[in-house]
Amino acid sequence: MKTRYPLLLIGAICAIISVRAEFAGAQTQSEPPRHTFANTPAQIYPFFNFMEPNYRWFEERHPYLGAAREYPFPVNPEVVRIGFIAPLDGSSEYYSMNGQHMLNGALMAFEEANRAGGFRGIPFEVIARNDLGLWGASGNELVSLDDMGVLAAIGSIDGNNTHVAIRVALKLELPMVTTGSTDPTLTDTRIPWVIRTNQDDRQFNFALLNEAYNVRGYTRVALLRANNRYARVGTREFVDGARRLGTPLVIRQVYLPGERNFSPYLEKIEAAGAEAVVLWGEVDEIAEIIRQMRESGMNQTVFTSDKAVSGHFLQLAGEHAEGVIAAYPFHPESGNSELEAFYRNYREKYQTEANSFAVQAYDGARLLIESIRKAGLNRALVRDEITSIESYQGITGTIRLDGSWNNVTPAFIAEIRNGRFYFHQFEWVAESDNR
Amino acid sequence: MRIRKRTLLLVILGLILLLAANRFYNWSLDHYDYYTIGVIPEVRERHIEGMKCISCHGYMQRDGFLVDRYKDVYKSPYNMAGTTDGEYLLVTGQESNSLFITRLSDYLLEKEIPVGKRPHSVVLSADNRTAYVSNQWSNTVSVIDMQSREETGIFETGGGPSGLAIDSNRNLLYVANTYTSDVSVLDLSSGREMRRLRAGNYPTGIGLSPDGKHVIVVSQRSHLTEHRAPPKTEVTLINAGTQRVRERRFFMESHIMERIDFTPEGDLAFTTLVKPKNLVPSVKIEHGWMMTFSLGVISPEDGMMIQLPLDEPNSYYADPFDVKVSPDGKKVFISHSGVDRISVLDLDQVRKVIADVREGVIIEPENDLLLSQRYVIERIETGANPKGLLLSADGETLFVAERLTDRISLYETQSYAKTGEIVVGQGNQNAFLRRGEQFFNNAAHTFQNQYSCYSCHPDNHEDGLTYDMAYYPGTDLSNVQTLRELSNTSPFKWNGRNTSIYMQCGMRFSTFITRTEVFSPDDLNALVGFMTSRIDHPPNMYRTENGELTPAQKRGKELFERTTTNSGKAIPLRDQCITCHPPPNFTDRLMHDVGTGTDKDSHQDFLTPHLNNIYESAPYLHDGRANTLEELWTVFNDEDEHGVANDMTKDQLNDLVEYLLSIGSAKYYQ
Amino acid sequence: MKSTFHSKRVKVASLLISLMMITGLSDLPDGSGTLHSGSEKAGTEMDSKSVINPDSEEKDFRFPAVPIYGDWTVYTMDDGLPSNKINAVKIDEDRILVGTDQGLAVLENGKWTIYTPEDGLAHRNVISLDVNASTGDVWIGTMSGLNRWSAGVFERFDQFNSGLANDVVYEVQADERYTWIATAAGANRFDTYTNQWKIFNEETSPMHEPWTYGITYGGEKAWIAAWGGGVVEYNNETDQFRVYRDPDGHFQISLFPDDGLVHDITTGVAFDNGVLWVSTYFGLSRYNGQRWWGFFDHNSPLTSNFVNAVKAKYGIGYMATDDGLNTSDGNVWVTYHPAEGSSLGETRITIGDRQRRITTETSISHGFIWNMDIRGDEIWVATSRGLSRGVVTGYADESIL
Repeated sequence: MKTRYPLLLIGAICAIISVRAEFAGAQTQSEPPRHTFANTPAQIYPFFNFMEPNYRWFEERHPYLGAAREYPFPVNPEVVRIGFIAPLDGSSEYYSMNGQHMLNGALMAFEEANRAGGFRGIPFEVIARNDLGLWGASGNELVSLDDMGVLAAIGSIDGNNTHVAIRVALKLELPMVTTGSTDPTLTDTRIPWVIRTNQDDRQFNFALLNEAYNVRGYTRVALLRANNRYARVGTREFVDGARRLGTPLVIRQVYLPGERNFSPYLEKIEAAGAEAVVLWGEVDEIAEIIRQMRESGMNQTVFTSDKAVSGHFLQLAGEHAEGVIAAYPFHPESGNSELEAFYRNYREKYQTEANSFAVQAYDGARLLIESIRKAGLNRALVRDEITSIESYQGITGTIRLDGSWNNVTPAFIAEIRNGRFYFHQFEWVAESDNR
Repeated sequence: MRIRKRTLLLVILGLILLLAANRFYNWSLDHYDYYTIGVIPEVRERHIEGMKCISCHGYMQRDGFLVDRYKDVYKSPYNMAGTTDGEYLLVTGQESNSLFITRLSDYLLEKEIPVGKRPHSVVLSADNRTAYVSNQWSNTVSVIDMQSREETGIFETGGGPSGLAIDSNRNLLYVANTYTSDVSVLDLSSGREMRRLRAGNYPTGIGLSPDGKHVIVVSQRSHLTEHRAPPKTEVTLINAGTQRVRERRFFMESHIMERIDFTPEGDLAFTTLVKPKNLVPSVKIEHGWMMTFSLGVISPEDGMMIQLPLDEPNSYYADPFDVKVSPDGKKVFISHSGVDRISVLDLDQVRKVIADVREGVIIEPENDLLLSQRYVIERIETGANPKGLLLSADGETLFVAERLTDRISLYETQSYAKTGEIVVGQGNQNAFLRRGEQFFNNAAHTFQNQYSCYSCHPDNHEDGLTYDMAYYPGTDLSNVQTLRELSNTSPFKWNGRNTSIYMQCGMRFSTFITRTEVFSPDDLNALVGFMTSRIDHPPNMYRTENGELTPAQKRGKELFERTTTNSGKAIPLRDQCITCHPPPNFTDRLMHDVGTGTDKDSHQDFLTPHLNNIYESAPYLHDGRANTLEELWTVFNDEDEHGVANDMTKDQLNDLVEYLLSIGSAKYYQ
Repeated sequence: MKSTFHSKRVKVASLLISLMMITGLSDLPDGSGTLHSGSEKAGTEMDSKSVINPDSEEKDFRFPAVPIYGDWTVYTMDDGLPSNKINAVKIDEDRILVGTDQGLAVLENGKWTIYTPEDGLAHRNVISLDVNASTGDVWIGTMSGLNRWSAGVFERFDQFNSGLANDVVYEVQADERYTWIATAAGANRFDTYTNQWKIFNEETSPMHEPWTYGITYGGEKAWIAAWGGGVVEYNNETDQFRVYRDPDGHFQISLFPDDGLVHDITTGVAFDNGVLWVSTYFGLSRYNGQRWWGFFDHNSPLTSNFVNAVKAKYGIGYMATDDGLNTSDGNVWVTYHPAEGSSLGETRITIGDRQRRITTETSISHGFIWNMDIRGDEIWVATSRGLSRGVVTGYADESIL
């Protein structure tokens, strides 16, 4: 029996080599895929260094084959109802605030559309629901919106809640545009009723990976994240990408939500000789970690999520924010006239500055409105429109949707210098260029 | 000089003692008044007379020599069965945990066979070789071999087995499980539970139709309806051929159906029921608007359900329990355990009334108390608390289990004369605590015998309804609370104003509830003594046999005792569960505003209820708004005022509920 | 249809798996066989003795071969259904329970009766159904709560009045004592004897994600299709768990076809005759307790990777895909689809690398299948447009090719 294992191992290695050779040959002959999943750089595609997988999903968009296109349009509707779900009220101020911004942004798009005649003279009506309730409230809210006869829905922010909602949307056959959730796994689910018009954490991870390893050339990067789903799935691509680049994270630390003393984790990170630290959590936690780092003499470069790109973060972190590098979905100071106008109108209407959730909701809502105008008042036809979009020109720039209907537009890097953010769109630096 | 000094000293000492004694005397009066009328009055005339120190400090204690002195061993015969040859009578002894086998030829108590706890019913196999006894507090059925007169087996059942129906042709035993609200169908060959069928809420009565086609189950409690909707209590019809529920019907605005019997033809089934007027103010007691008592008529085949009153105008026949139809199909006998009477109904007349109702000649028969004159032909007086009935095979003798006199009385069914009695217990039936129990179960102390304590507190518990009993109609709705294990849970009432049961059952009670004379001191002492020392909780169904908490219950306990939220935030002391619900009774016996008050409540703070066996006490909250424990937090605790719970995940809430279900009698608290 | 590239890849990958698992060559058909056409009712004539007596169903009964269903009858709103969108169907003795997005429809004695929330239904959108074989109680999963429908009375359970994990009840399965429920945010075991709820989610079980889609039971075990978390196996006697996940750990790829569960985003589970079937939106898995088989539309006769639900009975797996009804015993496949552009049906039979396509005069009503139920020799199929009933007309064996 003992002699069999080495033989098996040899056999397996031979088979792997033969598989790679087979695929290498096959790939050169086959057509290039129409969509590259998530616009993933080849260097960090799963098993890139090992073998070509048996099958790549999301290179083609999955069609909807049901009968819902046959449903007649409603007769003489007074309004066209659009559902909206987001955290609007509840225990988390952060999520509620962003949910309100998201709603404001969407409302602005629909109000503009109504001023321009709505849908063939029929006004749009947005029915907003809070999903920051208990235990998968988003699903229940979406069902209640379905009961009210909404044509489509927009939402949400929290990854968990949005996951619940999109599965309900699938069963209800309700087109849904997600404009705020950065959970990468949302569109990995192959639900042909849901598109995402904002970039997810995967795009942020790509940008940060590139900045940390390819641009800045770090080789010893540490991770400190919250022990929750947001931070777990939000950093997965960074962890995997670092490994695939041949420079796995030197240490990974996880803190419990609510913890305020991060020194035990930071001491370990320091002891591991980290040159840079990736932080993923809530904005107040990130600010506090940076403060404790700097005060204890740790001067590693900090990479973090889009949550840090806010005045609130600058206020919390103060002088310690200097040098922090974050990812962000678009360039808020790009000079785009439409974007400028939106900021101006938003400020006038809501007496506050629009944040990224407002801007991206505005883009997603406009995309939906245009699709409805083309398709008419049938959910499946609206679905056909939104899922056929390859790219859409929004006020945030070009929204490119991949085979999973996910926005794969490269994210922006935001670096804090002298108390303000400086933005640039990242571009993956090939291995040979800098490594 | 020395004598003078000594005298002076004695005088001073005497004065001190006099002053102290006077102060003590005054304090004792204040103390007395506080616990009888809830306040210290300016005028001493208000206080209740007749109470003694021993009332509270002796009778109200669950244990101790004083109570032991008044305790006696009772049998409390409950239900019966008879051999078809008429030779033997089988009687369950509810308090003695035994089955009595009595030879009828000479009334000899042949044997007392120990069975499980709180035996409820007994049935015999068709060949009379085996008897089956439901043990309500053991969740079992005892198998009794009639030859050896021994318990030869035990069958497992659902929770709280009570009524039994045997289908000898199919070799099946149907067991109504009161506490789990279902029916166990047992295969008599193996004792295996073949299936478990949902059946109403607290089902107790069950019967097989003479043609063997139907099993009908009747329930004590109403289904949990919308708040302040009328009660509706289920009649469950099981197809005896398939052993599946065929139909669920409801007696509306009624509840507490205890037993069921069929006509010999099987075309009709009869049950007894109570019609509570809990939705109207109890100030209408004088108008008969507290509750009435009826015969429920069920036609298994055509769906007919009619309620016929058993009361008369100005005279009520409280707490009907058992119903038996004579073998010739001419009479129906009904035991009224609250007024110590048996009603005899002329079945032909009943049929005529039914025909009138069906033809529309009589409308709303249930509310016409004059109607009973047409079919009630006799009211037989019995001993205390008649429960189970049995008719001899020839129909000539009626056996009545007089639960609180420990005897079976025999009546001739034509003349209604008492022809004999079988004494099953030798305990002193006039002993202090026994008198209290009799008092509790007797409606003679309420206006026109409308109800007894038992009427709203069946099985010494509660009836699951909310009553409108406040001074101003429509306000301060009151969810009936259990009377089980009240010691150390004072004060009482949701507003906490009754500092003792003496006060609860005192002067105001007579003004608002009984509408009769105030209970005499002796009666009150006996009643309170019984209520506080003799009423136990049934064993908690959700506790494991060894008393260990399950993993979910342990997690729930941690949540119950937690001091921080899921995010680590400290929970203020007043918002922690255990602050107001500390063990062993899980009440701090104080008033708290936990955000559950409404604009119909004159006060927003309520007395913290104890949580022992809380699973038996749905609905919840002072006005019975919450049908389930979950709703306490998912529906009625938006602002986290009734304990911080909104941060809990669903599995945490489930764990918390699991723990609450497991909270049993205080004496078992670990 | 499929490139050579895929075929080669499957074969080489199979070789690799074979070497590593010492289980021999995969017996998957590669889907590139010769096509035949023929008329309805081809195949082995059904032996009347082989028809199952629905009243004496045996748990270990197996069809002698993969049955071929035909003689399709279609029911739509024209026949009395409240909607053409049929989410779920259940054969309940002499009646058919149908879950639609506009209520519960019951076909009994040729007559439809519709139940809506006014009758006590938790929500009009009925998405799952099962019947307790012991008590006859019907369990109804809706988009907003769960019903126990017993002898005409609807009892409602929701996440606010009970331990139900979430109000969106994707699947309900009623064992004699326990009712198993998969919801949008966690699964439940409801003990109908004690009214206690056990909850399965990421906190109380090794479930990677709490969103569940399907649940089934068999013997002392239950299996939960956890969306994003693979399959969670629960032993009801020992209170122990086991988890089955996609070994490659990535949503965007399938590294090897037979290395385990095809994907973590599972949509349904079914257990029958010792075999576990798992449906996903990325193909189908079959597990016999020793090894896994993965089926995809690019390497097997499976008509679509988008499998809405799976059932298993009499040794056969029944797959509701968005592009046809699929049945298989793991080797032989029979799939059903309306013929394009006509009212005819198309039945494809695949044995090994040979395939025959039969045009049938009757057809399932639509190719988008939400669910199905099987009892004896009949099958009821819930589709995107109408309800279909078929009966066994023969068996797929070599003679049919």
